[in-house]
Parts: sequence; structure tokens; C-alpha cells
Amino acid sequence: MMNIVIIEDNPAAARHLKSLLDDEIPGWTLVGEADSIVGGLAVLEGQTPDLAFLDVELKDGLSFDLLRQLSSIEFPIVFTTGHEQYALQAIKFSAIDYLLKPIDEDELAEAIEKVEADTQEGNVATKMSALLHNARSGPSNPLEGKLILKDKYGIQMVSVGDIVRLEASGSYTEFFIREQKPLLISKGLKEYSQLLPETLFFRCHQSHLINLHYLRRYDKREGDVLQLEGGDQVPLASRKKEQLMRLLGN
Amino acid sequence: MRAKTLWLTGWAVMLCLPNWAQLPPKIDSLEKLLTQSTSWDTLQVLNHNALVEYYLIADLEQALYHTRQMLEGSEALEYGLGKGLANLNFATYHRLVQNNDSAAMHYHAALSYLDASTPAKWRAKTYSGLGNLYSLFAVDSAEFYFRDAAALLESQVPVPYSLLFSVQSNWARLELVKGNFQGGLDLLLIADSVNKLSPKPDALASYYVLLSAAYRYLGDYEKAIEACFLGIEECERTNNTKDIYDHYMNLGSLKYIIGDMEGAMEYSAKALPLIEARGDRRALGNLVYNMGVIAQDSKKYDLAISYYRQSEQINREINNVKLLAYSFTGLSSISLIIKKYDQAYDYAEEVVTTAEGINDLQLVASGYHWMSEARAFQGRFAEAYELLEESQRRIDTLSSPDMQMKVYEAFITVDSLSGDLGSALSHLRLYNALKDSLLSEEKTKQIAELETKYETEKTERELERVTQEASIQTLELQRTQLRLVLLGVGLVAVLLAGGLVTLRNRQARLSLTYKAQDVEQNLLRTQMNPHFIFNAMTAIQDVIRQGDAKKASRYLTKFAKLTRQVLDNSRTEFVPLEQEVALLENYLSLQNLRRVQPYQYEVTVAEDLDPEEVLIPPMFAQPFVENAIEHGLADVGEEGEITVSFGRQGDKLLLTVKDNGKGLVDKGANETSGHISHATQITRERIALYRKMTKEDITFAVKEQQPGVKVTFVLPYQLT
Repeated sequence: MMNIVIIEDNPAAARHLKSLLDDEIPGWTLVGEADSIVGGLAVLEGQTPDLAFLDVELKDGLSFDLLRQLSSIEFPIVFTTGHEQYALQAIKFSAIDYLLKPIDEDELAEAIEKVEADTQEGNVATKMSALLHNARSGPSNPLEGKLILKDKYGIQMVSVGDIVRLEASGSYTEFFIREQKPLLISKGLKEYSQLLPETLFFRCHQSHLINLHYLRRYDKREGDVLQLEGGDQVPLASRKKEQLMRLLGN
Repeated sequence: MRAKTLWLTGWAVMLCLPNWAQLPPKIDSLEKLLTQSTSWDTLQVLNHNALVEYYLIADLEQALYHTRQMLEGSEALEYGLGKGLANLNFATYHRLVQNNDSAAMHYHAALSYLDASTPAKWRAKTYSGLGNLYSLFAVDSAEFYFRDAAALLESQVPVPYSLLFSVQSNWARLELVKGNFQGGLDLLLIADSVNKLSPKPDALASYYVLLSAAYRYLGDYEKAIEACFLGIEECERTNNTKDIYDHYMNLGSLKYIIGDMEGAMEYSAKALPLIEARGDRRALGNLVYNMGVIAQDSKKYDLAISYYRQSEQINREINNVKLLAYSFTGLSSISLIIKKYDQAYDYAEEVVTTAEGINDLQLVASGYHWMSEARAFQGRFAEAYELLEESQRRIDTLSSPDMQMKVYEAFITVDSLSGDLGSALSHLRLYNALKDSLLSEEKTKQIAELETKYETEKTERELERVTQEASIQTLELQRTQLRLVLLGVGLVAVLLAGGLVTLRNRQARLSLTYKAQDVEQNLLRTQMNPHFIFNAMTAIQDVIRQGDAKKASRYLTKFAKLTRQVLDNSRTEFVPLEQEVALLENYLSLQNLRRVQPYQYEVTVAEDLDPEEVLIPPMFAQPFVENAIEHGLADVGEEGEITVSFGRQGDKLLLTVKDNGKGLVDKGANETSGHISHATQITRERIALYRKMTKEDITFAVKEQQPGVKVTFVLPYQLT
């Protein structure tokens, strides 16, 4: 039996979601419903549903404004939204699912599966605390953001500003983080090169993504190698040279 | 320069507060009124608020007390506006005491109470406060909030111009701090036109400080100086004794920058008594240091020494360690010029000790290489090299290319003084390589010239004498540059701090150049969309009429996805190949849903193309795929086939759209070829625009086959 809260300001979309849920989760229970921040607060404060669907844009503001006002979030959330936009970054950083409307039934099923896995593995609290942090630190401030990473031991929360570089390792990605052992994450580098803002993270090579903040020097004599703070060296693909020079202002 | 930066921060606080100068006479009566009353009403809450606004400048403890009162009252009354204002005041208080996290929290709390039912100016003030707060550490968010504040104010009737002026000025200040000087100036000029619509606000004198700073950063010193004079005039008009000496100091440093040492000294001297009268020790420490620099550059070394000593004393007293260290820097460099090498060494050592106290590793490293230079001039090369190694060790922990270059410079000086020309040249090469990789081309050229000069002179066997002279000159030049940097209103600090942001701005500006044409491109691309949007809608309508709700719903979801893909692909000039493939596949499958006899389709990508890495100009295939479906295969049954394939041809990308339909010419009617020509025309126009923008060519050919039609594109491609 799954207790679900739906916060959605478009009645048709709410109805549609409920009918899809009827197909997906037989016997689910609607334990709360609201169409605004104020209403959502009343529904969610002090409640711990098994899952909450939360529309990103509500009639009186962004649902982040609602989350910011909750003292804690101890339940999993799946966001729904009409279009991809930058506010989604906080959600993506936190490895939380979102569904684009109109909702696709297959995507809904996948999202519910992931939520069930998160609940079983005890990941919900960490993800939600990352979300709360990201929602508070503001959407356009990615270096302040917290990123949720999953390796074979479980999930971890790292500060985006602490990520020095990423390296592709087959279909995995190795994260090199300040003052921490490297993490091997089971997602491809491409995913992160799209997620992390390209003004801050530079794809210097097919297998390398670096945080420009840690770039210390580029020494031509050493065969197109970039030196990073902390002593790491990464190759610079020849076709990336021009782009880097542009970034560095030459 | 640190002092100056801090002061600019303080200025922002002044601006966003109301016209408190008018309030003091009311304060007493307000306070009496409030102590007499026993129960709460909303007016009392607002009276407390008026007091807080006054006390936020005069007495923070009082401000805090009245804010707490406000909150208590508002909670008792369930008074939303009161709670919002109390939170706003808490936030302002926390921002003033630099308790940033709490400030942010209270601002956001304020926003949750200040809504459409409360006067918009409070919400605008909250946004503006958030803008000021985030200006310190999250400039992007700051801009976001200033924008919101300005938009909100502009939408009011009547527009609260005075507040809008404050918001725009604070926003401009943010842009200046970010290094976006032109943007900052633009905002200031807008603010000025707003200002003309309102009675003169209190903050006008500070506004001119910003205006002057903006012009100075943009290198327009005349206008910068003019702004200073306007500021001084304004200060005199309003009896403003605080901003006036900032303007005089500012004038002094501007005159210094344009090389007018006399003027620089004159205006600095005007600032001196004003600062002393107000007892602003911080500004005084800054000013006498500036005067030391000016005197030094006028070659009045005794005078310079006396100013530096005063600066040493004052800055030590107020614990402004940075300027204290700079004073020692000045004293050390003068000692070197007047050949008192031991003294130069001692002062440089003071630089090291002082800078270590504030953990300023850059300055520590500089101190070491100045110590080294003093020893080198005394001929004590072993010590000089040891000190340089020490400097290098500090740099290693810093990994700062700028500092690394300075140390290479110092090595070159010591090398040439000791006559080790081989070492000098190898350091020069290191220097050159580093500079080459990190600095502007112009400077690289200078170094290359210097290198040639060294090489030539080496063969002329006059190297020793010449290099010695040259290195002394370089040294003096270096120091002058350093002082220029120190004297500025923190320009360099601002640039360093905003490094990444400036990069981003540059990119933004670059992309702006193309924007106009970009828009045209987009328009043209969206011209194609209505066609299949309405086709798809018709198909969904059809499924609904057939009474199959689930099928209609699934169809609609696919359609939404396609619409999203088209919009996404219309936004950029190049999209990842996989994205284009996904769009075409989705489009082909969607179109197939409504056919009684579905066609076969395939989208293929050659093995030597990595769909994740390859970028191509989007949506060139779509009109022709549409043609194939709507016309070529219109009367063809299940044997109908469409193939879209992407392949590589040298450094070009080959795209083909193939069908096995009835071909170009319809028996009897000319309709099909008409459609082909429509697609062809759109494509031609797009290609022409594309060529104008990118200087790259796209060619395509439409060929009749047996059976069907084959369209071939030769497209440029990029890699991500």
C-alpha cells in the first residue's frame, strides 16, 4: 500500500496522474492534495507520505519556495514539470526524478521503481537534504550546489565546487574530489558533462572533464597537458585547444 | 585597495535603506508612543518598523530590539505584512553584521510573507537586499534578484523612482564588481534617467562614486574625473562630509593614473583634512599610503618615506595589515632605488613577516624575491638564490601563474646581475612559455622582443653592462606596475575575484554578435513546425473519435516529446547527432501511428561517427522526410520504406533521405513537385543564412530514383 501526496495546480494534470497511478500501483492511497505553496505546506508539514508528486511551478510560486519552508523532508519526491528549464538543475544535481508533462506512463513506472529502490536503500534522507540545499543556494549558483553520486557502496553528497575533475572509465566516471579519495560512479562522463555547467566545467578531452576553477597552467612544451591545482595532469585534445584559448581570453 | 572594496560594500547598505535623514525628529515621539501602549495593533508594528529603519544605521542593537518587538506584535495579530517586514529587518541586520546564512534565510522568509496583498515596494526591497547579499558570493543569483526588484518596481503605478534608482545603482555596482564595466555603466546611465524623474535622492553622491569607478575601469579617465567633480558638487550641496573625501581620494588616484602627479598630490591633500576631521582612520591609512606612492613616483623620496612611515603607523594602529605590508613594500623599493640595500632587505623582510600574519602567501612570496633582489645588488648571489628558492616554494603551494611569472622575472634579474647569462636565458624561456600559455598575445610579443634583444646583445659581447641596466629598469618598472595596481580602487582584486564570471561575460558578448541572425534562423526553422504540428493534432483527434482514449493519450505523449525535441533543436546552431537521430525516429514513428499500412523506416549512423560526440546543424532532414511520408509514400502500402542515414565524407557529414515511393513527378498533377520545391526553398533560405553566419557551406541535391527520391546533404560537423 503506497501513501501518496499530489501537489499540482492544473486539475486536469492531477486527474491524469491519478488515473496513471491507478494503472501503475493498484491500491495506492491519496493522503493529501494541494494546488499551491500555502496548501502544500499544510499538507506536507508533519506528514511522511511514501511519495509526493510535486509540480515545479505552482500558482503562487515555485515549489522550491514550498520546500524551503519545510523544516525537514523525510519522504521521496518526484517532480513534474511542463518544460525543461534551469530551475531543474537543483533537482538533477540531487539525483531526483522529474517527469515532463504530459506524463509518459513508462517514465512514470521507471520513476516509481527508482523511488522504491531509494526507500529500500535508505537514500531518501540524503537526496532530500541535497535538494533542500540546492533549492536554498539558488538555481544559478552551481558551484555552491551539492551533487548526489552513486557508487557501488551507496550514495554520497559532494560539493560541486570541490570537484576537481572527472575522468571516463569505460561506461563509468571517476570523480576526483578535493581532499577525498576518487569515486567511481556508474554513469557515463557524457551525463555529467551535460549536467555540470559548461561555463565552469570544460571538456578538455573525450575522457576528461575539468573544473576550470582548478586549472593552473597549460604548458605547450609538455605535449598539451593541463596542470590542475593539486598536481593532477590531464591531456588537452588538439581540437579543444582553440576553445580553451578562447575561454582563457587569448 | 581592500579598504576601498569594503567601503563600496558599505555603500550598498546605505543605498537600500530609506531616507532616514528625515526621521530623527520623529524618533522620540515614536518611541514614547510605543512605550505608552499596552496592546498590539498593526500601526504599532509599522511604527516599530520606522524605528528599525532609523536604527539600522544609528544603533544596531536598538534595531534588533525593535525588530523582535515587531515580530512579537505581528505574531499576536497574525499580521502577515508585519512578519514579512520583521524578517526583512532581521535579514538586513544579519547582512550588516555579515552573518550571511541567517540573512539569506530571513530574506526568503520575508518573501513568503510579502505577497501580492502587501505593497510591492517591500517585496522589491527584499529582492534588492538579496541582490546585495548575493553580490558578495554568488553574483549570478544577485543579478537575478536585482532584475526581479527592478521589474517589480517598474510595474508599479506610480513607479517609486527613488527606490528604483537605488536598486539600479546597487545592480550597477554588482556588474562593476563582476568586471562587467560596460554593463555597469549602462545601468548607471539608466539609473540616471530614472533619477531625473524623482527628487534628488540621498544616495546621489555615492552614485557618482560608482559612475566614476565605471568610467575609470573602462579607461575613460576624463569622464571619471568629471563624475568626481559632480559628486563633490553634490556633497557640498547636501553637506555630505563622508562621500566628499572619497571623491577627493578618487580624484587623486585618477590624476595619478593619467600621470598628473601634481594634481594627484593636490587632491589627496584636499582629502587629508576632511578625513582627519571625521576621524576616519581607515581612510586616512589608505590616503597616506597613496600619497607615499605619488611622492615616490614624483621622485620625492624623502617625502614618500615620510608618508609611508605614517601609513605604517596608522595601518598598524587600526590593524589594516594589508596596507601595512604595502607600506613596507614602498619603503623597501625606495631603499633599493637610493641604494640602501640593507634597509631594502630589512623592509622586504617586514613585508614577509606582516604578510605571513594574514596568510597572504602571494605577498610573502613577493617579499622573498624582493629580499633576494636586495642581496643580488649587494653581490651576495648565494643568498639571493636561496631567497628566490624560498619564494618559489611559496609559489608552488599557491600554483598561481601570475606569481610564478613574477618569480621568473626575479630570477632573470638575479641571473643577469650575477652574470649567469645562460640561466637568465633559460628563465626567460620558462617565463615566455608560461606567459605564452596564459597571457595575452601582446605581452607575449613584448617578451619575444626582449628575448631577441638578449640574444643579439649576447653576440655583441656587451651583454653584461646592458642587462644590468635593463634589469634595474625592469625592476623599477615592475614596482611601478605594482603600485599602480595597489593604488587602483581594487580593480585588479575585482578582476581576479570575478575571473570566471568575466570569462562567461566575454562568451555572452561574443554570442550576442550573432544574435540577430540567430533569431532569423530560428524563425525560419519554426516555419516548418506548424505543418507537422497540425498533422499530428489531426491524427490525435482521429484516435479520440475512434474512442480509444489510451491510444490517444499515448499518441499525445509522443507528440509532446516531439514538440519538445523540435523546440530544443531550434535553439542552437549545432545539436548532438544522437539528438537529431532521436527526433527523426520519434517523428517517423509518430507519423506511422496514423497510417493504415505502416511504412518501414530506419535511421542509421555510420560506425565512424560517434553520435554523442558529433554535432550537426539540426532539422535539415525533416522537411524532406515529411515529403517522403506525405507524398512519396502516400499511396504506397506496407512495402513503403524510408531510410535516413548519416555518414562521413572527409571532414564533412553526409546525410541522405531515401524513399521508395512514387518519385518527384506525380502522374497528372504537379502537387508533389510543388511540395518538394517548398521544402527546397526553405532549405535554400536556411543555407544562405547559415553561410552568412558561419562562413561554412551546406550543399544538397534532390534526385529521382527508380523508384523513389533520394536527397543528399553535405553538412559541416563539429565535435563536442
